Amino acid sequence: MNNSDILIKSKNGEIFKKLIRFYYYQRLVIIRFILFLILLHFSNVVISQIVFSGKITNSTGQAIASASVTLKDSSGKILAFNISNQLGYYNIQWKSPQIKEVYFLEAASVGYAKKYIYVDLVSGVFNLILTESFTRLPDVKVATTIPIRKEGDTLNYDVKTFSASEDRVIGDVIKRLPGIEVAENGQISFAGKPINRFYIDGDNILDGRYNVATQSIPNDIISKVQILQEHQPLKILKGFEKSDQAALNIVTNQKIRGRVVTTGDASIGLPEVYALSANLMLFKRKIKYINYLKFNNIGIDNADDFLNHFATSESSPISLLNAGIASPDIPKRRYIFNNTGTVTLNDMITLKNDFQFRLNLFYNWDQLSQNSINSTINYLPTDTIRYLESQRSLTKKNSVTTQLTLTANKQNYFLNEELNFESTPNDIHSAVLQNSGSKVGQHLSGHITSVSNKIAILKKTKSGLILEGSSNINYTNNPSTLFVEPGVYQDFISSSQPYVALEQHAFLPSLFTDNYISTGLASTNFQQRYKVGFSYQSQELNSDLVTIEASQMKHVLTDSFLNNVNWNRLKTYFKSDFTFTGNRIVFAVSFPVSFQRTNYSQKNIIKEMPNLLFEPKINLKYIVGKDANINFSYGYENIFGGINQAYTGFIMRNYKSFYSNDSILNNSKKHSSSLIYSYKNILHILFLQFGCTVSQSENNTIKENFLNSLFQREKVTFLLNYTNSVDLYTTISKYYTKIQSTFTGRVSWQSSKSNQFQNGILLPVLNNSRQYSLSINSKVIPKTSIDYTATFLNAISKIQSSQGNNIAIPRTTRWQHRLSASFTISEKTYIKANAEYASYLVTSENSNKSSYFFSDASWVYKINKWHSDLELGVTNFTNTSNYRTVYLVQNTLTENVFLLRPRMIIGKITFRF
Amino acid sequence: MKIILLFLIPCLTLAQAQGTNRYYYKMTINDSVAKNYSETFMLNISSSATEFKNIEYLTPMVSDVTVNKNEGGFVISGNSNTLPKNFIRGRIYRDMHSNLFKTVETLVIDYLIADSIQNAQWKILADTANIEGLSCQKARGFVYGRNYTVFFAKDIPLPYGPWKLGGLPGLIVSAQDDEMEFGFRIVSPDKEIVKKNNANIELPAGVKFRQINKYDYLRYSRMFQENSELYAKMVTGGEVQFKSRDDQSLNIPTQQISKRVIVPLFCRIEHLK
Repeated sequence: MNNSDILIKSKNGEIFKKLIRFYYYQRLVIIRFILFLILLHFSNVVISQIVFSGKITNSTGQAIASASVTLKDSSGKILAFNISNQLGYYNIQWKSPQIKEVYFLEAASVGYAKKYIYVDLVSGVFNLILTESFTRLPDVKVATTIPIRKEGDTLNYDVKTFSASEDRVIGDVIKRLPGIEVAENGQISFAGKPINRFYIDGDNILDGRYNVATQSIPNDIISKVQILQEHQPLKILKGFEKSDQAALNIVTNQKIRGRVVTTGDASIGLPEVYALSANLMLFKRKIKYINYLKFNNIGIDNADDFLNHFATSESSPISLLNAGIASPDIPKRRYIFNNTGTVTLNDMITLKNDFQFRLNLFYNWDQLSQNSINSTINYLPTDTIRYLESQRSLTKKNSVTTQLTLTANKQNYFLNEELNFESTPNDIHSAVLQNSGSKVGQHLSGHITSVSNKIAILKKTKSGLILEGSSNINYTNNPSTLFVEPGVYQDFISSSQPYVALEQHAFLPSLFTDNYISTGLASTNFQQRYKVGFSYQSQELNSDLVTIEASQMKHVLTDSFLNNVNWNRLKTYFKSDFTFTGNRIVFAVSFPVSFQRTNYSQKNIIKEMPNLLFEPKINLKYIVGKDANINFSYGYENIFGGINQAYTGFIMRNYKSFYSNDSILNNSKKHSSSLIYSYKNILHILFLQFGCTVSQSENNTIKENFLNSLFQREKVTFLLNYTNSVDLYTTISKYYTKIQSTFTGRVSWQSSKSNQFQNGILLPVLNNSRQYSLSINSKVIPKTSIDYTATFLNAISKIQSSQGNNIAIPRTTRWQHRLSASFTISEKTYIKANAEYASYLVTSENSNKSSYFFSDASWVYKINKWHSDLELGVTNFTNTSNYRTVYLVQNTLTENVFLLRPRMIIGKITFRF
Repeated sequence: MKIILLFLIPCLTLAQAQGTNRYYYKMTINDSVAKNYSETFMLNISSSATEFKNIEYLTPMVSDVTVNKNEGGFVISGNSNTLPKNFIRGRIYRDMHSNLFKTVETLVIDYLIADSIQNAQWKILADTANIEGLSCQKARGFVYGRNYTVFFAKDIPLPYGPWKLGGLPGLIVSAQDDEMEFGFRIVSPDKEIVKKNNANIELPAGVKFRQINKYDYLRYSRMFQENSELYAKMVTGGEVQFKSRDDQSLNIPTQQISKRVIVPLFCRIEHLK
């Protein structure tokens, strides 16, 4: 139909109607056409075919035939490829480009150096010139000595290369791997961030309690350690939720899979020490377990095995009372006098449909005794307040922790059901001798109970929508009693009757639940997720102080020593997260909006606090090159105090500190941002990181301390104040294949400005600290392996008094060197030796330095036939009897002197079947 | 002797400078005749050609089996104890100038079978593996009538592989067909083997080979299987006797020999037709 048709057919006034109809029809066609064009345009972006072509030549312009040209993403994954023809031309076609990350074209040919160029996802002609290079191709088998290999996002560390003859367990080897850091408590970090999963042959048997594995699996049954970078533990969320944390996987030797591995050891020595352990392990595809028992009194704290590195702070109960025991910064085996027994069961069965059922049970019985002398000096503008006390304590603990888990982790379905139970009765007796000469006895007894259940279900619909439901409920209680003898602080407590002892009771039953549903949708370059839910906290704080008279009559002190707080906090929230993935950029934003209502009541005072909170977070990752990226993040938090700030009556936390509040909750508004540059070059085994963190908090309250030479009191009052901190650090880790050595260095500088309110004076305190550390692990000398670590710390504090003059606070400097080495004498024997040196220097008018030296040595004879070792060792050769630490926190200088374990001679036999 | 050595040294250096590379593969056959039967091959790669042949190629041909001209006919003899050591004799050359595979097969006489180079439409998969210390990526493709799952070494930019496989951005280090009949896997060779063979590739050419296409070759090998003496008479134009050198009759079933003879072609028979 066209215009002339209309004119001919419609003569009698119909023409107008038809013209109008035609006009609309045309418009519709045009609109449809435009829509079609738009769609076409979009489809161009989403699925159009992209062609890269060009010629590969050498530097003199000659064509290179049979060169391979590959299109890769930043992880090195091959997306498309082509082989150049006789004339050197290539042509790469790619049908499903995903605008996702950095792409590069790589050309390689034998006799030439590899060349790569970054490309955008637009067709184009790229001629590549390769330069001649006589690098040898990797030979078959020779390559097995390459200690680290990268496959996609996975780094594979060859365990043999990094093992030394004295290594017993896999944790000894992990410590030495370049790029991986292991903290003193066993927590493993990669690229500055703690790992989010620990797998054994791909299975998560232990969750955060992975010390069980690192401290018990022999290193020679593990063939490699893998780091899975940017690991998303939930398969369903892969490509949906970005993770910036890595996971670690240990891969067992093929030979031992399906076979029960039994290990154990027995030690006996002087003075009167023993240790026993037996361990049964199985790593089969469907069944895996690590079950063991350990007993010792040689200074090994078995409870460290059960530390949960993934635990969140919400679930840990608040301790209102403590017995004030400090720990030095040297390995526990030097200073704890213990007697410990432990049983653990960690069993996992893979059921049908990939469901996994897991049981983790830990039972630990512990008796620890510790001796220390503590001195605390508070530097005030008008005064310097000192405490000196010596303390002897005996701690008895008896704890059971059980976790039952049912998990299914599939591409389109995820289920996790977790039931936890924990019970820890504990009992601490301590005898304190104060500087005034008076003796105080403390007895703290308590019982922590915790029950929790967590369930999470995720499902992916056919349309790609993810639906999630999660519920988490947790109940804790920790009734505790602190008994202090004799009747101290009679003036302060001002009881009508004189008393001989004080008894503080406190218990805080607490219920917490968090429930949410969420949904999300993901395309390759844009992910969105919405979450709606509520959390509810219900707590009750009860405490009273009882005086005990000589006649054993008990009086409950009323008013200012009595607390009964009922507390609940309901938070409803809506959270939306968006992630944009560009060519070289990953940009994530999170906008949580929540409404929080806190109600608490005590002594007929009812308080209600409604708050509307908005706590945004942004994260920007920029990919600089194949091996490097820059990460910037900013977050705002609005943190409100909890029930431990709501009570008004005094609580005796320990014999020398009383604490109370004005029933005002602290509100701190915190801005924090960080900038991190990280570089990982696997080929040259170089890991480099530079980071900077800046934060500012605005607090509406401050803790006011009242100090005197006998005891201290704390109270919270309204006062707007700010805390600022800056943190800079650089870490570098490099492995040299030729000399088989890893060098790791770290430099950090920290500065913070905060306020102290002491004895009615407000003091701005400036803290600066520098820390340098260097560690070397080397096997450069034949038959010898050496591990050396040096740490240097320097801390300075300055107080700005109202008159503007600074108060002289001594600066503290700490040096620490640790050297351990093993020498192989023959195939069957080796010697290992260990030396530690630590020194503290306090620079003041009369600067005093204290230094400590420890050395241990042992001789090991291997009976290869029985997989058995005989060991004779001496620990603390020099019989160093005590150790002093000096810490400076704000304007408080704390010095502690600890009694150490004496020299021990131990004979040990280890076995394995 | 010294003079020979002096001549040899520049030859070897030349081979290295030109970038001649060699890899060794273990081929495993699992078919109706053989179970888990394996032989070792080498793949020589230069800038203009590749050569794939049995590592025992040189020795047995000379010492164990001889073809003697005898009164207008031939006597094919071999040592019955050593002969079964390796059956697979075909040598496959990739001639990059003419873009052809040239296979040399011996069935009484030497044949040269030329065939166009086919490359599979490879699909690169996400799986990776570490094979003999080489970091490898998985790929799948259909070529010469069979589906192959292969792993190629990402760090060796040679688009070749065992047998006639190739066309990936790295050297194919392991391959297996879907029927699990033929498998290849790269191996590290014994020093002895490395010493014995030189790496220069000489493309087959000239009058000593009879040029033939693969369909005719298959026809001849069937003929050989059915009546080896008749076949030999046909190709040589004289009387042929099969006789063991130690004067015992060759106790290898001819069927087995012929089966082996066609192995280097091992594409699907249907595909050949």
